[in-house]
Amino acid sequence: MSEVGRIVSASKWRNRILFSSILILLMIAFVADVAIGSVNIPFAELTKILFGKTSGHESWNTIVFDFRLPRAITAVLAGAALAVSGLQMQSLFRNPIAGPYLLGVSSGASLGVALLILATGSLTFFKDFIGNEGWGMIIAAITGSSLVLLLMLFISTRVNDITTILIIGMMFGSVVSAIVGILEYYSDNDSLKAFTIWSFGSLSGVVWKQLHVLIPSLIIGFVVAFIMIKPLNLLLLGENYAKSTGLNLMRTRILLIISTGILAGGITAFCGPIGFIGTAVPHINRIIFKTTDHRLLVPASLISGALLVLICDIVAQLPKDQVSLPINAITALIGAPIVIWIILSRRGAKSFF
Amino acid sequence: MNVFDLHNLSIGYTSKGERKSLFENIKLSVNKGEFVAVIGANGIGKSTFLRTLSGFQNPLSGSVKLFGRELLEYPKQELALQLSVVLTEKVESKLIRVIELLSIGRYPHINWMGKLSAHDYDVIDEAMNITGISLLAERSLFQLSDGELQKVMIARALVQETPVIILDEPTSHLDLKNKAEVLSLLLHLCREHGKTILVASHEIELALQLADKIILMGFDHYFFSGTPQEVISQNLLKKLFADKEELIRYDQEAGKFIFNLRNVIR
Repeated sequence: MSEVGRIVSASKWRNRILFSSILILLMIAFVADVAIGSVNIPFAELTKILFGKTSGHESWNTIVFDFRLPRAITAVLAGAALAVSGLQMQSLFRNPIAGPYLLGVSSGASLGVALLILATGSLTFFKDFIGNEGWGMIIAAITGSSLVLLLMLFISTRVNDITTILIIGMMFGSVVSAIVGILEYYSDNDSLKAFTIWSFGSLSGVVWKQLHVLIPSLIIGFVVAFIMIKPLNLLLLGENYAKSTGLNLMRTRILLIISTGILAGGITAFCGPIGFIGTAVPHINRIIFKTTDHRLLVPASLISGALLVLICDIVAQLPKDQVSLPINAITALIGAPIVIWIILSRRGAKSFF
Repeated sequence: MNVFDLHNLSIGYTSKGERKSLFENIKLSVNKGEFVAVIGANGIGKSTFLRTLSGFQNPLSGSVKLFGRELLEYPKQELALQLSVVLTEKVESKLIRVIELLSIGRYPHINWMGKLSAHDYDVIDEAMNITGISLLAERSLFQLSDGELQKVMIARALVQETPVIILDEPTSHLDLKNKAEVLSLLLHLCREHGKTILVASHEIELALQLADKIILMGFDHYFFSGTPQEVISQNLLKKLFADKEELIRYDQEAGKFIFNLRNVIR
């Protein structure tokens, strides 16, 4: 075997073990997330319900099936989608702190939803369209987030400075909240109420009907992400080297924006803006797996993102109160220090990406 | 068949609708296995010339043919099988390891999944041996010296297995020994591996000794291509720099540039 082949197969085993461990942790966290809540359900009964048998308590069935299971599934989807979209954005913008939240992509999704609910809320036709199923919401959010991505891509071809782009992203967030504020001022009570409820955003607000919309949308985003693994690796070289190695830059950018827009926009449509997961998870994986190879980073970010949001959700449930803590606060408490550490460590090695 | 055929080529760029031409009506052909050195002052247009030949930049007019086919007609994928580059710009990722970088260099040869075969690893192995970087395989780019990094970038071009390699100033920022190593490595690739190599360099003395063909890009849009002997015997090196104070002159017998700093230090 060649020297290179030996090095590659040596790291392969290490990666397989790490990958399996994360997968096992994910499954444990999923069950834990379903098990924890304001109502105590014995573990034996819980496994019964999860394996499709009905428990003696009718209310336990309802709690697990209609509340905890959709919430846990949403947590998995949110973590996976945000982490993968963050990874794609970091490679696309060549920016280590890129992520849907920090670059204003979530704000773009919010603006899309705000325009839909507030500006058109008074029209009965749209009210039916928005409905509970949320096709209108998800389309508005994905459109909004994709437009911001296009705008940020346009800016990043002119400005190469990470900090400047970050500030522009934050400014964009402020502009969006200003526009939303104006829209709120002019909208009627019903649509205002609908929007306010949405903007609280949480994992527990998502019901089965909405998951029927969210899951197929996200699957499209994930499929594109896996197809883009090779182009993502090429982007690590920089644009000219990538082109000279056969990359179609324009097509790559468009597909990455579509995938990122669907993943980040879709989650924001139903869960509201969730911060820092998209920025932090890819870096954690680069460190754990000691690699920049997207063949590993895409699936690894997917499962470890899901794991991290599940853990955040478990923390959010810990008070065992009727209402859980806002998921946003928990992800920020865990994610923000990681982002700070990334920015600080950059000065030393210049080698986080 | 010639590797490159340039016909009435004008290079330069257009900014805000204004056409800025650097060199006009270039006629030139490059043969298989030739070691071609591109020499010229800073900012004269060497990079623009090489970028045009690599397909990064469109010519203002005229044609560039690579193996008889118009360069602009090559799909990106096919061009990547004919021509590889070593650029002055740095690789975007600093964390990427040498072995990962070289694996990505194999992409034009492998399917969309990006899975490398045993043969691909053999090619990478050989490229590392030729360039002498086998011990650096598991290092990240930020851990490499400038000289090591340049050899890694040449290895990256090698794993692409293209008949043509274009290098833009691969010897800048290197110490004397690394300069000599890189240039002799390139010569070795021409002679032993049949590569056609175009390299822009400020190592004019070395280029005159090693190259089969010199492309001289001088001031006042002066463009010349020919053998090193022609360059020397026709005293064309004075076209290199607009040097009114006569700070430097080329000594033909010694094969060296001589600095006349006394002309300005009084």
